[in-house]
Order: sequence, then structure tokens, then C-alpha cells
Amino acid sequence: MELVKIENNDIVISEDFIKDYKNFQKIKLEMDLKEKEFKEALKEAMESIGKTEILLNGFSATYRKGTTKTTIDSKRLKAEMPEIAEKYSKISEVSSSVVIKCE
Amino acid sequence: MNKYEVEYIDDIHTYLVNGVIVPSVTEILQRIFPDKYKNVPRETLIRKATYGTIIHNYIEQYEKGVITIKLNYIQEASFSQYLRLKDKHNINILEQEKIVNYKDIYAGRYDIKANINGELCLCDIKTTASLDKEYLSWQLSLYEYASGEKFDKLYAIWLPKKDIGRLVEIKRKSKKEINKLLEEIKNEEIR
Repeated sequence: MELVKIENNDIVISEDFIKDYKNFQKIKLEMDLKEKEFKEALKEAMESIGKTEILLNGFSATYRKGTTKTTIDSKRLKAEMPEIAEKYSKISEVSSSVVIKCE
Repeated sequence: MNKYEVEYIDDIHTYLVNGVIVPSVTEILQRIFPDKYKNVPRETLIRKATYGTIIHNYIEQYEKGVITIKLNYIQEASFSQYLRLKDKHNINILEQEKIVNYKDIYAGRYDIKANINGELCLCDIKTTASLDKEYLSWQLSLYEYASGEKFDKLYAIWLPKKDIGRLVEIKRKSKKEINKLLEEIKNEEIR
């Protein structure tokens, strides 16, 4: 099955693929949310009994304590020290891409 | 008997108390947070507000037992999160979309009055990517003050798009803080 064709200078996308893609996105979102719910419940459970490792039939979970990280507030840096922000800015290439949205 | 008669004119989003226009809770919030949406493009605001309205309306219809709205799969996921939160926290809806007024000073419409784990709570549904707790604190406190009821807790039922939902407790503003704000509003009107 050809997913994308050019016909008469127009782009034709396989309707079967669009249907499959929409189904996939729906299932993916459901699973993403299920995974987040699972992780949250597991974290709460591990914290409540102080367990840091779970190993179960090829499945493992490791509890990692919350920590802090230091980042640079680039918005503030640009506003308060624009010349420093400019000096340490770099331009990198961003490849062209296609953004797909479906509902 | 309530000596205040409140009307809401949908077309112009305006509340009247005894025939006189009064500020809405939303307008008061705009006064407290004038820059809240300053850097957000108008199109984005409209898109996000539309998403929120659809979820609000669907939840309202679901709780009334009459559903006419059709959701897409992303909206369906947000609604599933609402059902999950209801189940997890024993949320029992008592009243929805109720118009409340504080004398003839201001009026508004709260989202949900509910029994949550045995406590009487006032809730607002939010679908934003991040939760502005200070904004919610004023919003829910103003609704509570206008309702004349004392709620055990104030909550945000937070249903961010494509993410898991959470029930977040919101700290209320004191009577003193609310009265100070209302005094400022009154003084501005006089000027």
C-alpha cells in the first residue's frame, strides 16, 4: 500500500492509513494516560511502605527520590544581560518536518 | 426570602442584580490578574477556551443524564479522567452551574458543589496545561463568599488536555482579604 501519492500535482493520502493512524493515536493516548496513572499509583504505594525496588516477571520498578536541578532563566538573562545572552547564544539547524494533528 | 433578584444575559455575559449591572467574578479576576493572558495569542486563547467549554458542558450534561455533545478522542480522554477522579475520590455532585451573588456587589456562576469523601466542597473544572492556584484561590473564594455557604474544602478538578486528571485542594482567601478587595472595587466605581 502506497501511503502518499502525487496525482495531478496534488497529494493523495491513503484513507485506510488515515483511519489506522487515527485509531493508533487514540489507543496511544489511552495507553499514555494509563501508564501515567499506573506510575502515579505505583509511586504512592512504594512511598507508603518505603519500598524502592520491585522485580516481577521481567518487570522492574525503581523508586527515585525527588531532587533539585539548576537551570538558567534565559528569559531573565535576555532581559537583564542581553549582551551576555547574545554572546552565548548559538544557532543550530532545524530540519524541515511535518506536523500532523488529528481529532 | 432573597431580596436580590439576579439575572444573567448570556449574549453579553452580563449579570444584573435587581436590574443593575454588577461585575462578574471573571471581571473581578481580570482586575486582580490583568496580565494573565497578556502574551497568549488570541487564537490560542479561543482554542483553549473552546476545549474547556466542551469539557465543562459535557460533564454538566453527563451529570444531568442527558448527553447531546459528541466528543473527539482527545476530549473523551479528558472526560475519562473526570470519571476516574470521581471514582477515586468519591465525588458526588450535588449542584452544578449555580448563579450566586454577593448582595448587589458582584455575581458569578460556580461549576460544582459536591460531596467529596464526606465533605461539602466547592469545585472548579480546569482544563489548562498548568494550574494557577492563586487565581483559583480568588475565584473559588469569591464564589463561596457569594453563595453564603461554608464549604469544608475548595478544589480544582484539573483535567489538562492529553494528561492525567488531578483533584487539587485550593487554599481559600480570608474574609478580610475578600472584603478589602470588594472595598477597592466599590471605591473604584465611586470614582
